[in-house]
Amino acid sequence: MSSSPFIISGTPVYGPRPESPPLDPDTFALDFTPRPALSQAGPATVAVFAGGVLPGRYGEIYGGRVAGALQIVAIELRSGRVSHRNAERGHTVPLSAAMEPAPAPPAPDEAELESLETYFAVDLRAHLGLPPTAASYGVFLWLDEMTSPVRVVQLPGPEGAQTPVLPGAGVTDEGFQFRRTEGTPPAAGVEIVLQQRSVAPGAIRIYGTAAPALLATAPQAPGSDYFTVLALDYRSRSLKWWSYLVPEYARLARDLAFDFDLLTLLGGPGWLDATKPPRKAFVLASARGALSRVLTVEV
Amino acid sequence: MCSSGGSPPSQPGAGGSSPPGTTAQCDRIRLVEVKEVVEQADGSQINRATASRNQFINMDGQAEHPEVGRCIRLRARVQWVSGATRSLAGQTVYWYYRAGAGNRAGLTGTLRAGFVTEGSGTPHTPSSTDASGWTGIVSFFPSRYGGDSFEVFATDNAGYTGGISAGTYTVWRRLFYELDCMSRPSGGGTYSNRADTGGMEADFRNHDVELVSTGADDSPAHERLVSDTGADAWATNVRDGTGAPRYFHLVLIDTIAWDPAPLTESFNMPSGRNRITLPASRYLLNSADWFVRASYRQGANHGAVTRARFTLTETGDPSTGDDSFVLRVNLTGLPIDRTRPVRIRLTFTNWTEGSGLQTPTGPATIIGMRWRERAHRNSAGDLGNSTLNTMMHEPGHAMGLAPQALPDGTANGDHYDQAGCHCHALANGCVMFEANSTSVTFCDHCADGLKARDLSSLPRSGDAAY
Repeated sequence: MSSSPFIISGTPVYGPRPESPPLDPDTFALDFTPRPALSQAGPATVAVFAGGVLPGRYGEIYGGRVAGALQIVAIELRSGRVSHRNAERGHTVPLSAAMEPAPAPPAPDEAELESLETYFAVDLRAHLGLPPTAASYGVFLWLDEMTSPVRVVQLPGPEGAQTPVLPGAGVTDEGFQFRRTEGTPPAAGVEIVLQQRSVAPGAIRIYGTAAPALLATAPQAPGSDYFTVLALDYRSRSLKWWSYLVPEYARLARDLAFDFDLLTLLGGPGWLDATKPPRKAFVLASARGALSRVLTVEV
Repeated sequence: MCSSGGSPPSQPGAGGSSPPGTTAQCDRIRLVEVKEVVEQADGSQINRATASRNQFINMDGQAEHPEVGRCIRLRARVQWVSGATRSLAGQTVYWYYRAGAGNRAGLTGTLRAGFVTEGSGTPHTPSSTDASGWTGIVSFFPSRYGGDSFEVFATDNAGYTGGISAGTYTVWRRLFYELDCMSRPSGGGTYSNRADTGGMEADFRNHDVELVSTGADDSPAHERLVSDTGADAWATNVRDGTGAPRYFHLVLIDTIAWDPAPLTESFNMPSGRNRITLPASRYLLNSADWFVRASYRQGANHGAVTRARFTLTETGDPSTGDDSFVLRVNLTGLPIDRTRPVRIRLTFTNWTEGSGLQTPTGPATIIGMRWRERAHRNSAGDLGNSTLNTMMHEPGHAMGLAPQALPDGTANGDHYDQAGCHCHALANGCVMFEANSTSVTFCDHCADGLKARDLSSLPRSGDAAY
């Protein structure tokens, strides 16, 4: 017996729903459930039901605006193109003006916030402004140091023109290079590891390496094998990304390492330039459905 | 042989029509004057001297006001060079315009200037005279692009050169706005001291839009929170301006908010602690309706905590940055040991605070002020610019800014569609970027769109064609 199709609003809806991921209120987690749905305007889409049980620290920083801090990220598998947006509907008070970047301990008579729970649902296509054509995306949620699992989401639609392959996501490759792994690659199960190598005036060197086991898996989209780096500025909430085709030698040798100068890739206003500390950026890498742990860079 | 030079023939006709073959046949016409035809209140038309001016092309034509409306109506008069008084019927006057050097290139369709009909693109047109030497009315339509200028000429030269200038017309648009500023929660006064209408008018004037103030500031009574769903009706109650449909209504209020939703937080309350502080910068509660549910847990003991055990007060002030919602919970009588910590799990309705809101179907531009006065309490300049940013951004939506395409039909690479049409030019520093900032600058693409938008009625969509 088929149920009637789920119709998802074009703007985010908040609060737990039956389709939301079941989360233990005593365990910190960020997760989501994708579900086929119809958009309010009619075309088929995918609804993302998201939920998070978050450490109280995020409540102290973002409070009731935590959905505005949380990024929904979708990497189009054939092109490496990244679409992202926070989980609010826009025209809100800028989060940079609302957040408390360096919360103080509670006052003597004050309760200590231990956790907060957030739930929302979005029409993935409408919310991120994704094209109406059929495409597969690696989707995940990102809140500063926390990420959800990556899930492949197939958005329905007519076949579109082949999305142009992006050699470097339309941005300069300067400062990014693939290389051979130095020392021991990460153990299986920890598929991509990022490390901050040095902070010198005007340079923050990031080194990363992928587990051979990850490179033994098949690319998620035939003919497209993208490696993506993302960075999020804590204060301005700016997000940038770069996607690169995994080089042939790395596929063959199952040896993928890379390094880049974060400041060369980022640069410009809104990056590590808050007038007062803390000045932090969160860095992530993704390939073949795996996501590194978040690397926090503070200057 | 007729003279073709500039000097009149030596034997002008002496009145009346001359038979073919006489010197009168060699007489020529010369252009004497160009006038603008202005309709009067009673429907009659008069000829007026032409003059260079700004032409408010988005307005409907109005009697006795030739400066409004896109159509400029001209006529010219000729006479015989010889001074003859015979009929001048059937003589030809040639009309053309000279576009300003800085005019926008590449305009298409109805955006183009031209004679005869709107958007014709016709660069010149002939007209025929009556017996008295007057041409019929010639209609000239400037482009629909703000700042474009056109000098119109009438000439007796069939090559469309020279002649008499009918003035230079510069494309402008006129819109009307009303300002209402809510009373402050305490201390008297309203938010009117934050409304830099002069700055707003100057910024739009830089893009060839004249903003005209209309209506009275009703200083509506303070309300802590106006919801997006109620904003339009609320604003309507204080609206008395005119100028619709070329009108927008700026309303500076305490707080505009939307998306009330349950938020669950768990607190550890050690002995002696019973206060929960929710800073107003990050939380927004409606004191009349905030409680959803609460429970306590201490070891194996657990149960509900009723609404009656909570008191909610709002303390502090945005000007000092310490305004907060403060909850105190009375745990007396619950089966717990108050010498040990207890965990309280509280679900309350939290609203999302907006920077500003352009109501989708109406002219209301709602501007929240509380958060700005808090966030920019240390910089009057930033506070002013943040407010001005929203005073430009929200009406900017109604004017179809952050356009998907530019007036020449090319795609606007700075446009993106999230929560409406927005712009990420100038490193997200354009007024039409989705997040408020202290920028009061439209990027070149938004300025280009603004100059070309059809402002004969609001709102316009950024996705719409020109």
